[in-house]
Amino acid sequence: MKQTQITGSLNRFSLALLLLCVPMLLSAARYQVRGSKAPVETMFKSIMKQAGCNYIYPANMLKGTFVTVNIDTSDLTSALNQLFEGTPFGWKKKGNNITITRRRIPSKTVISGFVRETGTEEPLIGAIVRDSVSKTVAATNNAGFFSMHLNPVPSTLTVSYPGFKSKAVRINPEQQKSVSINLTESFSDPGQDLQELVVTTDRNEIIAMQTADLGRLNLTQTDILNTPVIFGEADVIKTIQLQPGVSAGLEGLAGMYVHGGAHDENLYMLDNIPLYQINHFAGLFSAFNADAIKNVDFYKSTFPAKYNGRLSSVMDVHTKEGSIEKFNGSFKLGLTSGALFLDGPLPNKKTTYSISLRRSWFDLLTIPGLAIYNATRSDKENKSTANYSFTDANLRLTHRFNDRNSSSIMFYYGDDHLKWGTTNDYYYGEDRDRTTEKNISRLRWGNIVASVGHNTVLSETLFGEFRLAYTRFWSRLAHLADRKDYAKDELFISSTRNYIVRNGIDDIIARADFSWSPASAHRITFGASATEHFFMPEHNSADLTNINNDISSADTKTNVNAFEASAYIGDDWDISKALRLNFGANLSLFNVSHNSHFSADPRVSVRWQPLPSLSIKGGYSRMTQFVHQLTQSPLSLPTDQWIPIMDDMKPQHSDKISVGAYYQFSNYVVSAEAYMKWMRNVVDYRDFYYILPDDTPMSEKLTQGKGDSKGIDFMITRRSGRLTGHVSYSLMWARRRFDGINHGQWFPARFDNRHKINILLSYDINSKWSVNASWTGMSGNRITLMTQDYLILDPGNTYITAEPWETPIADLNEGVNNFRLPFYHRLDLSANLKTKRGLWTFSIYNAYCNMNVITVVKNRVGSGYYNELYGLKDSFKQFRLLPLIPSVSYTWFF
Amino acid sequence: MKQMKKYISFILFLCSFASILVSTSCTSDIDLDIKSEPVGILNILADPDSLIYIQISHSWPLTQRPKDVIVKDASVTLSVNGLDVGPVRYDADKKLYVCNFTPKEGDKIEAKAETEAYGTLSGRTTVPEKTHVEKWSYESKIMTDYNSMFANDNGSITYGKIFVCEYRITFSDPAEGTQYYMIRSDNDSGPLDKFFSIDPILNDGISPFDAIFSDRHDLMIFSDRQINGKDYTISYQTQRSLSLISFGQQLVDRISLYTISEDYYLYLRSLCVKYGSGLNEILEPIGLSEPRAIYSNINGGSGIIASRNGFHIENNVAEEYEKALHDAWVSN
Repeated sequence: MKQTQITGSLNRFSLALLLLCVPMLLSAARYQVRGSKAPVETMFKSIMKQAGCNYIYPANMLKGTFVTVNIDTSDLTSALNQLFEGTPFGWKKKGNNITITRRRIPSKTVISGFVRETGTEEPLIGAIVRDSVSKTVAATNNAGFFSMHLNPVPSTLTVSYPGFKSKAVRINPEQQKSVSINLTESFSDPGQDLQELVVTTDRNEIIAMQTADLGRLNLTQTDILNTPVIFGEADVIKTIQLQPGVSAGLEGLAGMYVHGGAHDENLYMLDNIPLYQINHFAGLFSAFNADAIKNVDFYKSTFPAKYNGRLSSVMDVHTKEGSIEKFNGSFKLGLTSGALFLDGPLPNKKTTYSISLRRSWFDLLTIPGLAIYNATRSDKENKSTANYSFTDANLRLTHRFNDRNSSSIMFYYGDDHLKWGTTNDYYYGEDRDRTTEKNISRLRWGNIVASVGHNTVLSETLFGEFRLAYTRFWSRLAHLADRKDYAKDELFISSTRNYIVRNGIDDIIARADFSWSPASAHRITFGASATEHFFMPEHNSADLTNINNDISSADTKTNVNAFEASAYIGDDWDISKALRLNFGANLSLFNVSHNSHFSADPRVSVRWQPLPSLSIKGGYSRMTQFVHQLTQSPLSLPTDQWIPIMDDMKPQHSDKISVGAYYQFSNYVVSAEAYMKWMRNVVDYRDFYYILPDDTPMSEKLTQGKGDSKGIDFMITRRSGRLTGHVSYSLMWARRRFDGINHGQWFPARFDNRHKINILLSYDINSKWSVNASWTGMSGNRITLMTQDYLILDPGNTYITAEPWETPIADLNEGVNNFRLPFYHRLDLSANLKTKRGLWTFSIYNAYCNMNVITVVKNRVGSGYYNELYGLKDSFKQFRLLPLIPSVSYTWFF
Repeated sequence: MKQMKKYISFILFLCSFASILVSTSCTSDIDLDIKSEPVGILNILADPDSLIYIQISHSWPLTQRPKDVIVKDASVTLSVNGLDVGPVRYDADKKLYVCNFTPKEGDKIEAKAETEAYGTLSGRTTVPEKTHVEKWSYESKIMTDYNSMFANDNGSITYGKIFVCEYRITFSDPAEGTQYYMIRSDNDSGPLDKFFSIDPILNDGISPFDAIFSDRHDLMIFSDRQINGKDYTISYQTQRSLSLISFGQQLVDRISLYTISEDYYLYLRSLCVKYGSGLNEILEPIGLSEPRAIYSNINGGSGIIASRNGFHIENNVAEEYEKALHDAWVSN
């Protein structure tokens, strides 16, 4: 072996070398070297010079190896260990001589762990973990768990999460198999300069640049709270409405129509459990209380193998577990509701709770308001009643047995109550003959989700989540019409009618989900679930009672049970540094009324990263849907029924191809995603279904058809710095065709908004004030507008007549969604002010008060005869809704 | 605490303000740039009690006055059971086409109208069997009319009276097939204030949800779904105010119980849904419900070809009315 002694000099190829050699003090020698991507050889020689040791190693052995180190120690062993960490080199010391050897590279070892928030111990979902040696990157799952295959050499894990300070943790995989890493929230550090809050690694940047997913978005609670919304009621759905490719539906409501999909083609999940009715107050607010939300995953283009059951999108909401460190609480009072949030540990310090309660308080205004109205009206015998309220509650208990096992109980309850009606008393003459009338309607609907689950680290590479759940949606509309006529206190006419209309769905769900990392390049997810559905599409009852107490009752009830099972497997595979492949399949079985339907839905997406700043992706997803919600209105009414595929109906399928390009520069990511989606067996009411008798089988009222949509979504995003937000533009087409609708002709979808522009900006002025603005502009929704009249056969006359003013006229049916409403645009503003104990949120919905057109209505000026006589004409009028609406809320933290 | 009160007052103020604004919607005129082409309309109601009249017209834009909408130059052919029963001529006075043919039950009628401007319109219907009325009866009575009142000399109030005839019509429904019915009054003599029925069979086809807003068909139509193949007695009321004005007039109740063709039933159902008082009537005008269309069975255009076959009751109630009027005066 040739021995060579090399004199030190700076390496000319080093990009950022800063070498500092400090002569050792007389009393205590210190070894100090620092460099970024510096030649290991130079670093080594510097240490040797400081130590005054001799060294020996084969010529050229250290050439081409670079390290990033910051060594400052008095221990030579430590200095050399740090220097050679992550390199294939070892060292030996004999006397004053150091010999460098080439180490045997052992096979990789596995390290797993959890990333949590400092103090609260809340798992951080989607935190990015990077290994300094192997350059492996992992993301934490819903439990904050990650698993990595590393070289069995000491290395450093760097963990980052938006809004949190990044942290570097030194590990030695040869000696430790698990690690628990806690991150500190940036905002929790008082007096911190705003610049320090900048988080260079954003979850959505990682999704855009690193993963193979297309059309995926991760929202944190902050994202949701920073979106200006109507009444200042933070709402995850309304935040997602600002994404390209997502149509919002009707003005002000929490609708979601993704890439030409229908309202029931979105899978809403609360901690992995489906939720069927996600609206309060006909969609003015969604059922997801922002206080309880930790973060949200939203998919609109390619879908992980885990998800199935809806055609167009998946929204998975993860709720907070609660702090294990201390009790926290907040109370929020807004324009429309009040909310209380509590979380903290139980005395055993192993169990945490998280409770959020929200209740509207419209009724606190309407009840006294109506009482005053009723008291002041001249006919005091006549009274009106109306009130509305909604309540929702989220509860979560999490018990951590140890670092590897935890169990949780989750409960959600949502309840809406609407009541309206009149009571009238009429008195006649001296005898005080009287008539009493009562017409009261009550509509009540809600959801319950209850689940119990257990998370466990089965091995360093295998994580399992087991969950048993019950989810329920119910709706009940009751109407009482009662009339009694008295003559001299003697009842002589009595009629009572009670109608009750119910619908609902109950699911019992068992599921197991696993994530497995058999090798550093593979992240495999697999699992299975079984669901027993209990549908009650309708339960209608009517009781008619007359004066003789003769009761005529009718009760029709439809119950349909169905069993659904699914299994999935998917692999996220790093084929090379530039190429990443995500592929898998979801298999599902749906059994209803002795008919079984099977589907195998492949999913594949690929990312090619020719440059670190450029990713190009492509993907294909097939989705299958076995249940659907029937609706007769763009409002999301609780009376809309969920039903499974029945009789001769076939499952709905969608096939979607997406391609996208993502370019990152500075703090920006620019993206373009194009898609084509084909849908089969989509369901809708057929033409004239409403004239069929009420007890007509549902399948005869429905028709199945096909649809397609295509478009491209452009977006530029800035996720870090004082100014964050995005600007997006969507170009899209969506249409449908059914044999039983529109004479079998294609027609555009109602929310076929050809162009859509969204601008969402948030600016942190200082540590107290931040402002947000969002502007939406889009092509108007489509509506069915009957623009012509015609003479109809007069049902009131024995013989038909022919003069227009003698014959009734009616609207002529000219095609579905044949008219596009005018261009829609709106600016919303909000400002947040942090105080010592609270947060003020001021918002203005529709800041420049552009009341947008939600429909076009007919203005009939009179009968045909008078039209002729006075030259009056019928006309069309635009119906505009929602002016400027200011709101304010205050959240008190305690 | 003082500060909190101030905040709450502020919130309440904004809340009230917002409530006022939200409840404020507005409308404004719009000129629609829609170029819709008019279509041909064909309407026929075949009835064994009448010749066949045919109305041919065309649609017109809502924003224009209906002018010359009758199509006078159509070539119309009418066939019954496959045989041409022409000629069909245009009656300029009635502005209808008429065929000198009276249909009978079971006739399969096909109509075809060729127009120069609106193409060919066609449709078919089958005249249903006449309603099998087994018996009918009626009972008259006097009831207080709380809608009319008179001030007496002493200041007291006297309520008016109404003369009510309650009819009970028993008919048998054929076991085969689905039958559709319509009951109506064709009174054309004497003051008839009201005719109505609260018979539960008229709730047929109305969903409980719609029943909250309207509990029966305005057009009094029903199917035999609830009575299939059985006898059924339907009740029906006529009401007249008791007044001297009516004294001596011919007072005849004319009530018809029709069996109607399925197309006619669907057509009338669609009219009930569109112009009735169900949920749709509330939601459709403000764009929150898909507009309901009127049922049509005409190929190449719109309109309806329908048929009916009725049993008619003609009941002169002048004698009872006169007696009731006398009794009412005596009692007062």
